Amino acid sequence: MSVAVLTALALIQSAFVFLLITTLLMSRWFRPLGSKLARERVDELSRELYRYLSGQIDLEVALDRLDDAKLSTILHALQDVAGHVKGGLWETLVTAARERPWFRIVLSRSGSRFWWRRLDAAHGLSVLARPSDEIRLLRLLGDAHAVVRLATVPSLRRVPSQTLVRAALDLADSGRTPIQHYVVETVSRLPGLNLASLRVRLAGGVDPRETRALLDLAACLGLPDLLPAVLDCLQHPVLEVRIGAVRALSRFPHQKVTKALVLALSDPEWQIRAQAATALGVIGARDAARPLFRLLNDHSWWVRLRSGVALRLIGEPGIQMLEGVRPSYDRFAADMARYVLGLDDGALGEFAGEDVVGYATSIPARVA
Amino acid sequence: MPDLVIVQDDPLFLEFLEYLFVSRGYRVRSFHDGSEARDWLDAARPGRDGPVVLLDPEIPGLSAFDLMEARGFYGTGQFRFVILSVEGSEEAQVRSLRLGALDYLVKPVRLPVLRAKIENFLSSPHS
Repeated sequence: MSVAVLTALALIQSAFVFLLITTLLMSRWFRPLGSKLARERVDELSRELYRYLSGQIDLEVALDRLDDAKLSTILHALQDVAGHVKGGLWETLVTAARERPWFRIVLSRSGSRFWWRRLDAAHGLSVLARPSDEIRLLRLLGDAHAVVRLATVPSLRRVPSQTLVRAALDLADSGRTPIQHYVVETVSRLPGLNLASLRVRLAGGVDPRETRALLDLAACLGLPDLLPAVLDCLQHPVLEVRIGAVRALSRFPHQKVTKALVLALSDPEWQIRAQAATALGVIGARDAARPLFRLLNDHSWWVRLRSGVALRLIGEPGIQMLEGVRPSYDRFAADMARYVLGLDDGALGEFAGEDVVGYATSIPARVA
Repeated sequence: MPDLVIVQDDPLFLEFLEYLFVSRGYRVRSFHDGSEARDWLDAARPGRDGPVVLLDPEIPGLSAFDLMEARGFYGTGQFRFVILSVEGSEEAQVRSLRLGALDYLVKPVRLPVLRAKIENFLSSPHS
């Protein structure tokens, strides 16, 4: 190959490298500017929507403003305003907006090959959905992309449907992730949630993951009707479900619950004992002070900690018991009592969190 | 002294609420910065029927619960707090009401309901 050809190739390569670096730098400089401008456009449109809601402009004017904007700007502005306001005027806007050409694009994107387009559809439907969109929402809730599934969950607030609730609960995975928590929280706030069907599903749950999610939902709702089904879950063969049941019971302050939790303090599994102690603390069950005190010398450090924290949470009788522990009674119990009594309110709040399932499953052995 | 103090994180929503009440003839003071609101509320010396404070407890720079404890109707001040928040948990609602909040509204809020409630509170001194 001649020197001239090699030189030309080198020049071409250098030009490409230069172009690449320039593009990267330009993108670094211009992207924040682009985001700022996009935000300004969203704010401007949101302001128009608020002007409509406060009666300063007519519906037609607001719709014209929406029509003039880019789809992403429309969706952002609608989501921003829908987060603050609902009611008659808003629903009038929704009804009219669904007739606009850009809404047809939103609907068509729900079947797109590209996940970011399906995400647009999920965002749009989260503020504009109606019962007629049920099938579309069901498909989006089962989307291959997690972010699309998650963005679809708020649509449930607009479309009351047991089928959608079931599909949303199926999203819950085996761990207590923020996503699961978000799904359960959203579902628990849906108007007209069918409690009878929830009871039946809790009682006959075959899939432990679903039962866990339903227990979280029952805990969020805290309705007495659900208590028998939650109590039954204490006999479930899967440990994770039993832990979920014990945690859920902390939201049902009732004599029956205290008895069941005191019984759970003698469970062979340390997670159950720790969770039961926590639940008794959350309920503030003074009747349980004595059994909690006995757990201060449990072989698991976590159980000792949770019992100590629960004793502090139930107030004066528990605190007196903690103050009365002497090393001559049990060195580990005395250490834990001193530790718990020394916790400030913030640390106590942290330890009093309702969830003890996230710990490693290894049981810290008590060293003699 | 204003009739209504609005403390909300989102400036657009704040602007909207401000218009909603100013247009009906109320004197409104609004803040979207928590520390500014805190300074103003700390310095203000309201009379017996102090203003209603429409407060977003999630606003950075201000601890809503501490503020209600110190300056709420049951505290040493005479502000009457109404909470307007995205947080709808039972705990937050019960805690706020126990600290003397007049009401706890969860976003998204129905505007006519919000307006009617605030106007009721404003027209009934020492509610």
